[in-house]
Amino acid sequence: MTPQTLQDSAFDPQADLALAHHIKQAVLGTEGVASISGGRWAEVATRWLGEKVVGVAVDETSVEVHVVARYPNGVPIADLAERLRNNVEPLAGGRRLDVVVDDLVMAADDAAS
Amino acid sequence: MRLVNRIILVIVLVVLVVFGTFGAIYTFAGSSYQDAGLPGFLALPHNAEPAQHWLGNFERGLVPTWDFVILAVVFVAGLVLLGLELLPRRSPYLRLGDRSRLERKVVEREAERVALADPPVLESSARLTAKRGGRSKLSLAVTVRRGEDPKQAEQRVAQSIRAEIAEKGQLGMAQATVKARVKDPRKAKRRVK
Repeated sequence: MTPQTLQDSAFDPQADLALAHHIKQAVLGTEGVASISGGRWAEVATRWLGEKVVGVAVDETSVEVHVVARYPNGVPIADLAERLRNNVEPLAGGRRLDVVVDDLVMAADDAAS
Repeated sequence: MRLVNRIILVIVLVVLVVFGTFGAIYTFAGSSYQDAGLPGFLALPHNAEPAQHWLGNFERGLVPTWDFVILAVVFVAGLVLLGLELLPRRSPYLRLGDRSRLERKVVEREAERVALADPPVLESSARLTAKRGGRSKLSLAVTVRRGEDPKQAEQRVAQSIRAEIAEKGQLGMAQATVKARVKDPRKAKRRVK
C-alpha cells in the first residue's frame, strides 16, 4: 500500500479503514508496544459498515493512535512514543499524527499472562 | 458535576444580566421609572400580588430573615460555582513530546506502586500536575506504619521515584514531593505486607 497524500485524502471511509488496519499492524510491530488501546473515555476507533479498527482513529486530517506500552522496556516512554511516531508517520500520508500512551503493562504482569 | 455547574452558572448569569440591566435603567433612567416602584417597573401582572408585595417590601428594605438567608446562600453558591468554573481543569494527559502524550493516571499509579514497594509504606496516593514545557509535578502522600521514621521514608520513596520514574521512565518530572505520615497499621487499609 502506498502512503496517501493529504490531497487525495478526501472523504473515503473505506480507504480510512484500510489505512487504520495498516497503521495498526505497524503499531503492533513496534518494539515496546504491548497492545492497542481502545482509549479511556470513549472508544477510539475507525468505523465503516459494521467493521471497526479499535485504537486507531483515522479521518481526513488526522490519525490518532492509542497504545499500551511495556514498562520498563529499556527505553523511556517518550522515546517509545517517538519510535512509534517514526514508524507510523510515513503511513499517515501527511495527516496530523497523535500518539497516546493509555496504559503500561509491567514486565512482571506481561510474564505472568 | 461540571455540566451541573455550567447550567446553574448560566442561569445565575442570565438572572444577573437581566436584573443588572433593569437595575441600571431603574437607577439612571429618570424618575418616571422610580415613581412606578419596583413592581411597576418590572411590569409584574396585577394578579401576581405576592410578588408585588415582596418586591415592595424589598424596596423598603424589609426583607424577611429567611428570604435574606436564601438570597445570601444563592449569592455565595453562585460565586463558588463561578470560581470552580474559572479554575483551569487538570489535564488528563502528560505531554511526552510533539503530539505525543501519556495518561496522567498511568504515572500516578506507577508512582504509587513504587512507593508501596518500600516495606514500611502501607498506603500511597499520588497526584500528578502537568506543567509547562512537558514537565510535571508529582505530589505523593504515603502512610508509614507506627514506629517508622516518616522523614526517612520520605527520602527513600523520593529517591525510588527519581530512579524509577524520572530516570528510568524519563517522564520529564520537574518536581516530586513526598509527604509521609505515621498511621496505626490497624487503621490502615493495608495492614501487612
